[in-house]
Amino acid sequence: MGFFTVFYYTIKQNWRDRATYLEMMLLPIVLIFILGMSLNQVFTVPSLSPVATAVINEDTGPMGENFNQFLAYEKVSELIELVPVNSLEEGRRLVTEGEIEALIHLPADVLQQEAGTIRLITGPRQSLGTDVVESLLDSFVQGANTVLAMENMGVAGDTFGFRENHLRRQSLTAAEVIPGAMDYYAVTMLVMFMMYGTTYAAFGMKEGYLGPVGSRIGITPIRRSHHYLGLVAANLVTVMLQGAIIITFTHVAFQVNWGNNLPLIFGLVFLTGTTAIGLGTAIVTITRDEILAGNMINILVPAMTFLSGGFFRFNPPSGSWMAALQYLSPNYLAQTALFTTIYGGEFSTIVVMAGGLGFLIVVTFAAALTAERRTRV
Amino acid sequence: MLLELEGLVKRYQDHLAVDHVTLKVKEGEIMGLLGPNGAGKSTTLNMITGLTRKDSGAIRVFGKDNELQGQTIKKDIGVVPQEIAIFEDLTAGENAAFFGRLYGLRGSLLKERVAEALAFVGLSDHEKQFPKKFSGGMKRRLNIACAIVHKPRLIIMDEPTVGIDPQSRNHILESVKTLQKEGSTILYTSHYMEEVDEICNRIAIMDQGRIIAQGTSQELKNLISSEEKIDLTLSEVNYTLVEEIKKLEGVLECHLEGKQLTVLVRKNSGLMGKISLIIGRSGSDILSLQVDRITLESVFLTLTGKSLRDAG
Repeated sequence: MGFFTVFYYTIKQNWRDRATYLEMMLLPIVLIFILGMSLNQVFTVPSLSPVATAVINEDTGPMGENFNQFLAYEKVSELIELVPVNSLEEGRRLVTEGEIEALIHLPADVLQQEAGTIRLITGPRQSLGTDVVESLLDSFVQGANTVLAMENMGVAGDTFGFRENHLRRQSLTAAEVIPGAMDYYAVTMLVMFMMYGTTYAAFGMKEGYLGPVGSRIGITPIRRSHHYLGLVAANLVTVMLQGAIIITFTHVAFQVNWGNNLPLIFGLVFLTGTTAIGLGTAIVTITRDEILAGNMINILVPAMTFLSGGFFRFNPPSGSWMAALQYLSPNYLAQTALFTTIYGGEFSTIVVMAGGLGFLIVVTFAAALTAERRTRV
Repeated sequence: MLLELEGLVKRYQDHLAVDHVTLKVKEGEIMGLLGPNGAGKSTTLNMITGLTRKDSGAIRVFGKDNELQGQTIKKDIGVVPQEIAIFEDLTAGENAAFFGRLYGLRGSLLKERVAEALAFVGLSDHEKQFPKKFSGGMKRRLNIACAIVHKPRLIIMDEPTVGIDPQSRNHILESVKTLQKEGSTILYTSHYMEEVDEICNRIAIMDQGRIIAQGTSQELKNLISSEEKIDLTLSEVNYTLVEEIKKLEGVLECHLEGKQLTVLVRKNSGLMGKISLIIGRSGSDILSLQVDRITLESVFLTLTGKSLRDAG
């Protein structure tokens, strides 16, 4: 019963500290709004206009015929705008002058010649447009090679067999799949302010466990473990509630996308909150100084947010020490797990990130308990 | 015996905080533990309550070993800590209820006991108020209410009157006497000898981790009944005269604090004339003179060689 008494009265005190609680909820909401609105451009995927391309098709055989068919497909014609040219020289001139981005040349009797005779001529600067044309050409060549290989193996077939439905549309522009600035900062700010829950743990543990009131409670018949767990649970519920309010508010007011798997989202929020409480408890138990603990938290939380790309997207090269360091940041683990859940990534990624948070929880609470036992006289 | 300490020892690295303390407290009495700051009083109390581990010795409360039956013992002990240990964000009533619940009180009994405890310390009208708006004295009284809400058999009070106004101090001292009348046993620590002298049935004097004397107030005073204390106020301060006075045959202790000179001498030693002469030679005049009756202060001075107020 001692557990519930400590839990109930700690929740009551946290709730009464409305100034702190409001600050911990309003600040992330305001930050999400400001960052989301001001950096929305950075997160918007630019629309792709058709790429001006010229084609010189001198092949009158099946390859040339199929290439014309390929260019006529609706999906392809959405991506490239054919510019008529009369000669290879004119096409080269237009590319040089920047009038068109690419020139495709199919020489006559292309199948009778050595490989690599379909040519793509672009300007000196690589652009998204030339990448698109190169990809399309690559698709065509691969399809053609497949048909030729089948013919060589004796499989009958009189066309290259391109079908429009062979092109599958992967969402590049759908707003509900790719996060906008508001969606991005809703996750990173939620995680950052949940990590500020370390302060609840630090100050709560200092007053309720390590300070004079904590000593006084230690004299009563309550078990130490019940006293400790009551405080941890109350601070965790406080932080969880804060997270739930931020999620609900941002969803309703800013239409932030939190995905379809809310139980998993709240599971991850629970892990994030527990990590924050564990970290705060460890810091204050080791330092035994709430001012020092507060200063450490005020440095650690923004640093971890920065490291995990919480303020602006930040992707260190894979294998670099910065990338390795990110795995030590609870913010990175929580953010990655949340983004993966919301935007339908690999479940194994969520498991790895949740496992990382679980590891940090074990380490921080073990450190806190060891420090607590060591300093008991 | 309600409380027995036997050869209690606590050491912090090289510092011997409690040095083989033996003490017995009878049921229904107020036992005073008198000593300066750092004498080992709080450490002794912390070992009794289980907050600090003892290095050696034995503690028996209600006849039970406090290490083996700590949880059972704790239910019947109430502790008023030296530091104010209450929640600022809980009302006075909620503070008392919180501690009442930790001692197992529930429902209507809890409500009744909370009301009684607050009434006892004179805070009934402030039940719904938050301690952050209280004066130091009111906080001290709430500190006591939280310790007595479960009506413990043994109440341990660690310097409960530190830093409060005289009105609250008197209220607390009266409350302690009332608690005793209601059947509680109280272990009371202080470095204010007047209040210990006023309320305690027996007193143990502690210094440098040891109990150097114990008994009733009169028994302690009888230890030095062959002595008398002379308090003089001087016009000028001259520290050399202290050394000169100390050299006189029959002077037990001499102490100068500001312009106040305290001399402990053997009774009827006839030294007043010689002391006046030394003071006169030093160029100072005697502004006032008082030969005091023996107090706990003079007992402490005799036993430890230092003033209780300065020893901390």
